[in-house]
Amino acid sequence: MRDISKIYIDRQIADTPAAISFSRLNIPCEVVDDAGSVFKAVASADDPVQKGKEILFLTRNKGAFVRKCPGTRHYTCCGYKILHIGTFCVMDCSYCILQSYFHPPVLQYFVNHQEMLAELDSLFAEKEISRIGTGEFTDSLIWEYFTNLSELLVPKFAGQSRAVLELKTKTVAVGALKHLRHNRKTVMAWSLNTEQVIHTEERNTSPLSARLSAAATCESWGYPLAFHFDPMMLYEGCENDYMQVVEQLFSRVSAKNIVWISLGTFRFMPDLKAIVSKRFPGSKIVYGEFITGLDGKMRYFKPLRIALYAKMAARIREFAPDTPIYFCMEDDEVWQKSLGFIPSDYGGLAKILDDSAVKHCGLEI
Amino acid sequence: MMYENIALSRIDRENNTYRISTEMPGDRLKDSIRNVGLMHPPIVINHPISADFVIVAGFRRIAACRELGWSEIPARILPPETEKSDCIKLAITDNSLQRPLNLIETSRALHYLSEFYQDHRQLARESSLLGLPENPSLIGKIRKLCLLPQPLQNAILSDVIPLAVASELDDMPPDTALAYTKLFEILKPSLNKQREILTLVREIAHREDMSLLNVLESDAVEEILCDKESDRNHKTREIRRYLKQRRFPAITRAEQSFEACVTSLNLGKDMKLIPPENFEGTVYALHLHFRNISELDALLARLENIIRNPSAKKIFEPEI
Repeated sequence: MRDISKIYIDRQIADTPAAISFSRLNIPCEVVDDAGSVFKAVASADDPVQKGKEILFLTRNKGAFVRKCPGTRHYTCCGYKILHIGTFCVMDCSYCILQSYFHPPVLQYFVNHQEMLAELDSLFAEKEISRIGTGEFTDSLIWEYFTNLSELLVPKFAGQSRAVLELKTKTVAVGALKHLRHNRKTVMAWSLNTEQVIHTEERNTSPLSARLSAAATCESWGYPLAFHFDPMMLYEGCENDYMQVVEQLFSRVSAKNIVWISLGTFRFMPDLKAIVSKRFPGSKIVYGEFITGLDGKMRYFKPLRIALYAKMAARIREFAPDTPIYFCMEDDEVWQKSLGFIPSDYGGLAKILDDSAVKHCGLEI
Repeated sequence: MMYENIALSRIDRENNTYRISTEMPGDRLKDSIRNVGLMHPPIVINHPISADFVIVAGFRRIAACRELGWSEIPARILPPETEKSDCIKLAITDNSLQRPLNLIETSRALHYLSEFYQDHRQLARESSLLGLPENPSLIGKIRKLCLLPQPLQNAILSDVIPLAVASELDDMPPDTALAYTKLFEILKPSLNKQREILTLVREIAHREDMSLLNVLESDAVEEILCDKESDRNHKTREIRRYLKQRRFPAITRAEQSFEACVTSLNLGKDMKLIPPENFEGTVYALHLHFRNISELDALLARLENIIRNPSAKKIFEPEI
């Protein structure tokens, strides 16, 4: 957030408390009639991705706040839901798919919270269990320094027992969570990677040890935890490095408080390659052994993925035999060869994760 | 502008300030001058510091006259106060309105013009008026070609290296651009194959932390290029195969292992086993070719043996 040079405020929401709180920051603000001028300012920059991280657009979410996570039929999806609080990110990871996902990439924060809360009420009224997170189109906690979003969301989820909120981050901005009534309905989650990947590919993110300290702190406040080894990168010595991350993880938090752990190797739409090459000329990540996957994304050659997954899963199971390990968007062959089973053996991936949410978060069906 | 007979010895033959043409005078030009004389006198201007003349237009005509042993020629002499930009426009017009310019000549013309028109739009407008390209993007690609090392310019002129590849080589250190030039001069690959080689070499260099030149001049590449037994098509195939294997080692190993297994299955010409694309999916296809029931029956009998072959199992359960 420290690098934001200008805040644009949609005139329609300029008098909302959230917008007013942003306008009190010592950052130049401009009220605009429509998004066009903001998008133009970003799109016309030499590096629209960088520009998109320097401009914040406060507006209302004109679409749905609660969305289904986009999956494809070729790979197993976990049935996750997205709580669409905003877009893009101020951190700068070379591999971030959001660089090519939004056209142009604009840092937006949606302030029509009453509509969001109404949609959540509808979600809570459903008969089925929901796992929903804010960390798909943005980082869940980058907004903590300027908003009271967690104060709004965490108690909201604490008051029901049908859904669990996952806050997924690479930051350590957890201070505001300490005194919130969470009732274990908020899962605090961190993206983890090796020291090398964090150092070379994840600009402006927190170091691994800091993330694990923040996780341990949240555990001490009673929050259930989750971890995502995603995207894992293949490089010489990566297996040892990932094993060390697993060891560090379990030296800091207890396996019994981990709701789930996901594994995913780097995958990206082909458009991202040119962006990474241009914005991160020293990065090697797009020069791995990629093939075009069944969903059109570039993926590591399948046997290479399976080899790393199998080693990771085996090591994690030594520490946490009862914690569900799952893959984001992989097929049955990968599941079988890496984990020894396929999701349908246990009623499907969504059920496996729902069951874990029931067990760790006290959800009721 | 005045017309005058001037001594050829007074024309500075080293000064190429306004040279557009890349070619030397041919026999046809010399024959024409010998038979009917110099129909279009060259244009010259007084040298800024000496008493000599600088050629503005007519380099080939003047060279031809020299080769014919003439001692003086008729010339149009520009007033000494003529602006350099006007001289350049005269030089370009004299060439571009007579014949289509090749890429290097176009590049020289644009390069000279860009000294006076730094704004892209202005340059495009002037370029268009002089019969040169008007697309700013194309101008950007062509403009610097005349600054490339001479062997690379020669390869462009002989159509070995297309513009798209030339502009990529333009961004490289000269020794690397020259190494590519040498490679493409030998192999004469198509544009797509040149692009494939450029990409593979660049990505190998990234992966292995080495320079493009190191990859291009590796022993394996040299060995393929020096093979006296194979023609350039075979060498091109071998270079591409080598680079692909180095860029995608695990994928290449898997493909080779699959091919080896298929070979040991002895499928014959009437059966073909097709793996999932990139080995990403899980569905294999088997194509059977037969003309009647008895041929199909024979194929099925062979198929039963094939299924029991250990290589078949290895295909579906490869070692990771």
